Amino acid sequence: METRGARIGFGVSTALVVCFLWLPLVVIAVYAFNKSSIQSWPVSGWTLHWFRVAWQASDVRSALWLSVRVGLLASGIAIVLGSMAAFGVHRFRFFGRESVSLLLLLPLALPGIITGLALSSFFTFANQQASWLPGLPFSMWTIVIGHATFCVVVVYNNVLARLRRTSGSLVEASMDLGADGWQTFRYVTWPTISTALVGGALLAFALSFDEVIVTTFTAGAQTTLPIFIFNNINRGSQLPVINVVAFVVIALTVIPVWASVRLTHTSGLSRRS
Amino acid sequence: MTLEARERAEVAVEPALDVALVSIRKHYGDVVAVDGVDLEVLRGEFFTMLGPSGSGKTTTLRLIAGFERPDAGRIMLGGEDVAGRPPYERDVNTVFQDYALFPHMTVGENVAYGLKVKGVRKAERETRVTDALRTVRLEGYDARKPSQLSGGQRQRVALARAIVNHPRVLLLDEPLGALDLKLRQEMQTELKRIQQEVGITFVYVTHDQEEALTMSDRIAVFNHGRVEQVGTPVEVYEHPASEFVAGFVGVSNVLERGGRRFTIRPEKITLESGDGPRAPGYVTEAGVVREVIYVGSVTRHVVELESGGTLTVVRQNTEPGSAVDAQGQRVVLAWRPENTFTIASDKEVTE
Repeated sequence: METRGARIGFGVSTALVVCFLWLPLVVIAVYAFNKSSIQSWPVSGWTLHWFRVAWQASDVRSALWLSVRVGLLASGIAIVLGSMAAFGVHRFRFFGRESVSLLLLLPLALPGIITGLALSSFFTFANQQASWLPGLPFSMWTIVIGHATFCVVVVYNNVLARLRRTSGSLVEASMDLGADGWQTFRYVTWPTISTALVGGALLAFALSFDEVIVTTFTAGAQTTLPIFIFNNINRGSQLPVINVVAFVVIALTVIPVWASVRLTHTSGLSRRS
Repeated sequence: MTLEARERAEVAVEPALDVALVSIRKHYGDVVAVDGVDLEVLRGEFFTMLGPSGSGKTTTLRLIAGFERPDAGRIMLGGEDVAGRPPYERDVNTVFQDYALFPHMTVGENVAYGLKVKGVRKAERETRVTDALRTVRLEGYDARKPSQLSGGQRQRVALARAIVNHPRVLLLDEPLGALDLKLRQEMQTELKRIQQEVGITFVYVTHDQEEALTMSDRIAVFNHGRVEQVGTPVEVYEHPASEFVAGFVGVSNVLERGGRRFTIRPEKITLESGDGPRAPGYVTEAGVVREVIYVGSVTRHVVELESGGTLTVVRQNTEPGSAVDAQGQRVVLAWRPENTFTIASDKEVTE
């Protein structure tokens, strides 16, 4: 049992860490409602004016729309490829299984700037070798491919972890009770992994939505929302709009991550059941 | 099979053999898990496959269920060879060691699963689920999730989920292994009752000799992927066919006298301290007590004999304290020769 003093100590240090992580975000959120166009403390008054300005700015809207599309497409690719890879690695024993697992995980650990640089070089190379490689001009699709490299990993990891935590005899039990392969997938395997899959996809979307580095290397003339913010951060006149955009991004990122955490943990299936 | 059992089998109108394994072999890489097993299980029988871990009993069970395919041999279920069929096309159901209840379904949905995938109508499903839950004494638990049940209750759900389908054969893979002693003994009686109530053939896998002796109609003792002996609990216990069976089902009490290897059960030996008069018809040997193990209702004495070998003797603790409960004491053992059984050594059996 910890003493009263230790408990207070833990409480205070936890509070400090949470403040350290969240205070800057709170400041941004407060500025988004700031009446004045100049950032000064304390704020002079409250308004929703900048939300309207941001919504009416066509460059903000097109950037937001692009980010949403890229996030959805990258997550979609991640769901398909990530879950298939997880099933393959979990179900079958084959030569090089561990290597495949490592190769899938590596892009997440690799610095984004390396991934971005490599992809950029590759796309340029492919476009130059159009005679024998299908060229892919820098566009939304190159951004999607760039984001998919780390989104696939997130889904793969989530689904694989769930498969490993699930008792292997569930599938056998289902077959034993008369269910064929399709029925077993529909009634047993899918309900077991679906929350992990959706959780992974939400996390992948959140990662894609605020990605800057890989996007910088793989985008052509396109501007995603984070890139827009990055480009406008030094323009004083745009600052109130940026604050609003940042606030929206925080909200859009927090919601899927929160949902993902809930899906992955509270309804987690344990081995003992 | 005993003569009696064979006669019963022949007069039955329907084919009385529920399971017949013919020269089954299965290996994993270099390891031979099942090495030529022949078994016959009669309709309505409680048949136990007993053996240490790695003896091939669980693999044999999985072969019958269809989770594994044999390398050679035939698996007959009710007269049909099912060796090439998937699990869902075999009229057997399994109770798994870890129960394998579907965690996202309620108890009722778990039990109804087999009926649902076979397209049984909802009204009939509900009646049969209620019946099955009543049989395992879990009425009214339909709406609970497996995670809300105790180990013993999960066990019963797993049982209900299997018997609700009225399979030809129910396969049980060490189903009581995860329960504590008291609950295990309770469930042994319970399993036997359920088996008699539903009249389904049970093929039961265990490494626990007491469990096997308590519940089974017949026992097959497995060792190194082979069956060493098949018989009723009394046959297997009183007349072990090999040294391995003698040692695995009970205490290994093997002596060699005059070129004859024989076994005798510990409770068939009397232990005397003095040189008093012997009853006629008894064989006697002198020895020294090496170990005294108090087990509550009985005390086990390990006695080293002067003519070589050791024997374990069990005495009822009818009176507290005993003159021979001392290590190093000289004693005389006596037994009737008709209680000894000649056995082949392990070497002869495997060759």
